[in-house]
Amino acid sequence: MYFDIIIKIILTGVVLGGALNLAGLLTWVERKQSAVMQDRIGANRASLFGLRILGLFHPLADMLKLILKEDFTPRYAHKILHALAPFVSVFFALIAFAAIPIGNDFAWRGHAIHLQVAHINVGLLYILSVMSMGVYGVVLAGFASNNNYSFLGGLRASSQMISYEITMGVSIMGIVMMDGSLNLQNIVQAQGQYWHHLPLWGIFLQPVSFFLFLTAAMAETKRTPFDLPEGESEIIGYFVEYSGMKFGMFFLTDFLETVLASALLTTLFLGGWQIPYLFHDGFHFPWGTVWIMAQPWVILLGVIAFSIKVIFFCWFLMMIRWTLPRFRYDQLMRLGWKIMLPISLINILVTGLVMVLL
Amino acid sequence: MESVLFYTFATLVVTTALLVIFSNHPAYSVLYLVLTMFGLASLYVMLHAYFVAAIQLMVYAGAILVLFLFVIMLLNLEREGEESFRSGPSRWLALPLTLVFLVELYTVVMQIHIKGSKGLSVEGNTESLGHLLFTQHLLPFEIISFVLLAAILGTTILSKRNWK
Amino acid sequence: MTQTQNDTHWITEGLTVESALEHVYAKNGFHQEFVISKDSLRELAQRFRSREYFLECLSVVDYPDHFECCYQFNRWDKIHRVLVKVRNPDKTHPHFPTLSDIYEGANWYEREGYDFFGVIFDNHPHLTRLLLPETAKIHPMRKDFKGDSGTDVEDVLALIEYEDHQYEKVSQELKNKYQKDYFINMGPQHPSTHGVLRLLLHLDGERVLETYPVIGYSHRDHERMAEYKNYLQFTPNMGRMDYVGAMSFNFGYIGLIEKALGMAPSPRAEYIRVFSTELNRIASHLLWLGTYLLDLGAMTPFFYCFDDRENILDMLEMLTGERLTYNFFRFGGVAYDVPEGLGDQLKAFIPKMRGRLKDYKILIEKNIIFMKRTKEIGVLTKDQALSYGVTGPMLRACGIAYDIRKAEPYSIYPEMNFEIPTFPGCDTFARYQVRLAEIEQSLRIAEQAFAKMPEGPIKGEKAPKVSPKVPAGEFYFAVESARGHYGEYLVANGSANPYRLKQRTPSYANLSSLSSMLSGHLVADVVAVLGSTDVVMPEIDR
Repeated sequence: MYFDIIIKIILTGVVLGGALNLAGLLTWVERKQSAVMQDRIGANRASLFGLRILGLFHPLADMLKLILKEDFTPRYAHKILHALAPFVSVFFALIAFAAIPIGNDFAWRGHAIHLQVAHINVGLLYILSVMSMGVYGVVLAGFASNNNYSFLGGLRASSQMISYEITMGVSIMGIVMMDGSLNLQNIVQAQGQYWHHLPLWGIFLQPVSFFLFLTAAMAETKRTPFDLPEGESEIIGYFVEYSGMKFGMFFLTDFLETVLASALLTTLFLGGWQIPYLFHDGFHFPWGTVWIMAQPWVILLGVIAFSIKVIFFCWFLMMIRWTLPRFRYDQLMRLGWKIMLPISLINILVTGLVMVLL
Repeated sequence: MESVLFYTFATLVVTTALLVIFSNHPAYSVLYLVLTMFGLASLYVMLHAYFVAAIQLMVYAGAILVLFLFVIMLLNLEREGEESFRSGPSRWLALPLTLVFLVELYTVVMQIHIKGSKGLSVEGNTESLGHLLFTQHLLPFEIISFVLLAAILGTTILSKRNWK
Repeated sequence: MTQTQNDTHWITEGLTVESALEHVYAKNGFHQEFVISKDSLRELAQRFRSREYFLECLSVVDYPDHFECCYQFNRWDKIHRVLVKVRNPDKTHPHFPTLSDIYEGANWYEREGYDFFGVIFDNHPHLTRLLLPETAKIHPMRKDFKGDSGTDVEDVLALIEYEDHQYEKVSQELKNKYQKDYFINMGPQHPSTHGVLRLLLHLDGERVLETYPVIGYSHRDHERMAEYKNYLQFTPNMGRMDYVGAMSFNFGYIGLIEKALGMAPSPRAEYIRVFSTELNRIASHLLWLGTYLLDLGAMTPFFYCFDDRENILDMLEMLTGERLTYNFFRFGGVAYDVPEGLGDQLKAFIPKMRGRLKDYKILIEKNIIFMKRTKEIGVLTKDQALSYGVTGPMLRACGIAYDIRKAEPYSIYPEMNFEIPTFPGCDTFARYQVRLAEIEQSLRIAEQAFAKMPEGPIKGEKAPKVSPKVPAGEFYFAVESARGHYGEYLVANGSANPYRLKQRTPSYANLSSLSSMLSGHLVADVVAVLGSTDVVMPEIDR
């Protein structure tokens, strides 16, 4: 009992620490990535003891700046809701990580250890529901600021997130149908199978679903080209009346959601912690070579592989952000309801037919 | 341990449900209702009904209540409705109607016999739920989907008419 | 000249004409002039409107014994500038008939007339202050207005102050009045209004019902300054109006004074002027392209465009010593000769820029989101363009090849080999196409002008050493700025400073057409359409 609790606390620390640190690091990645794409050098001035290290101290400097800034509440705002909104945003972005498996299950001194904070059998539904709760932070921010711009931002955000939630949920039903489970750990384990030495990852089995989910996840996390709730050149966004660390929390939520979307994409479509040809006792390559490894190393390799895949997707989402212009509101809705939802429904139908026929 | 958790969540549900009625700003009411939904979801989790809990959050808290909040924001109902409720002849009907409702509630609750609440297996309750829905309760399930379809069509037509 | 008289018999047929004049176009920029009575003005305007003349400019002039409204009508296809004057001897509250229902572009000109002179245009739909604050008590362009330095602000401007409870009261009143309506103030502090423009949007959800542009936030009254300063002193003001394409504005002013003085610059100076102006035009279009894509949510192209613009600014800095507000032209020439090394830089830049243009085209036109955001958005029909007096790339995006460089060739443009790109789309995408094609044409002109540049002095022989005195008369001179038709109407009285110098700036007319382009679009389109008009606010506010 106590052992389990301690393990869970450690695991929570690892997952939350990982997610938060990655989100912080992403501010730096975003700056550098945009700089690379735009022929610039990017932020490199922050220094600690004369060390600059490519501007890696900028996330720290940013955080310090945001904390030290004046925390301003507009005069005619709803004070309580205005203060509550950023916390709601960050809270739901953080607890969603609980259901994501970061490594394989293993036994240690007779205890089964799940490398997943919440080992629940409806993990996928849990994540979807928590992500859908994230809309409250945005809506409250828009409403409580008593500002027409943030209000428009809140409206845009809520309608966009509700719309794309549906596509997001429906698009992954194909995966769920094939694996027969809503537990993300089971879904990842099912991706360890092979078909003529080709790993049966979600991206190979459900390519349509992958693209649908990628798009919907980008819309759900409000990133370019779906960043209409922010739309800095149009309505500035739902957080226009926020300053200091409260703004920083919205900022953080943005990156946390990016990490979450990447983690979900990895888990569902890139085999999570799976490495091709790595089995529980080591590598078994299709050409016959076998490397035997001890179990702790296999587990550790899995966790590392998971992190690398997540970082890859984060980078990929950054790339898209700095490439594309922004959709218009009606185009966004049309894309969501008239194109993506029908395709994802057809995808379910086709998947079902194939499963019945095979 | 279990009963402590149960009473905590039950208190949460009842308190927030009361606050929904008594808070004087509709936006706060909706937010309290969200908390109520949370409490209910927690109770479902304690009953090992994970699927129902997740759906409860996703559908009620994540979608329907957002729409409520949406409407409240759009109409900006700041203490406007209060006057009409507290005056006029309708308030004399409030007490008798409440009494009738309470009596009805009492009789209905007393007739329920709860049986076999632990019947579902813990791991596979999503599956067994799906199984039940698609075998035993297939007809009601399909009928409900048709009703929902009709509702969707209805709203579409209504909103189209408003645009012109 | 007799021929034009015959052709234009219809203009005044059956109307009360107080006097008619034939002008020599080459001398002062006008073809014909009529002084007519107040009652015939509307009939006359309708005749011009039906024959596809656009209202080029409306200037009010305060003469000692009367107020005068000078309307200029002109054609797109065959240049024919007619100056129509209406006089009113009432010096306190002169009344004139409004043309705002015939020419929608007249709306703002008339409001400006009211603002500056206190002239009242009867039946104008919304005769309020345009450039000065709503609560101003002065008419600064009147000759009897003394803008003394000691004047207290409260004498010229009533201040509105609200206490807290008053604010609550006012906002509640407004709420009750417009209970179902949603108003949003876009600007004056807004990233996409390119300076200090305020758009009051009347919305239904996100759909725009009506747009009211509110301008005047960077108003400095350059026209009044011109009357205080002498002709030479006023030259630096030009770069302060259109700071993005300052060279064309310098060109316009210097060209006007040279025309009025009847002198020509040295040949070498002409070529320097033309290639520097064209480079500046490219810089202006590049700035537009970058910020336009930024408005649409794509940040990266902004940096590419600025990178290219930097090259141009470097070259112009070599030439003029300045990067933004050049003030490089002088009466009869230019300030400095071409420095060593500029030629090499220009020769390297032109092919590089051509390559970049191809890149931009691929980057932008292959992007489906960009196409969807710009096509069939902000449509301005030919007739609307006529009514508003829209010029420049916006007009050429309606498929009309009206470009002053070809229509009224000035300087050495007749010798240059270039085309006027037009596109028939009438929408924001066509405006993008026009501007991109114009960069290519400007590159051609700059290349030719630099190659053909003769040796010789950079100042003409008759170039004045001190500030000149312009002979009495009325003059008009127009150039094609990066945003369109930039013209100046000068009334000189033979003294050292102008009696009246009216600036006809292109963005002014272009922006006034915004509300008709926007109705029915979404808020996101407001940004896209506003961006496509390429407004520079100080040029509008002057």
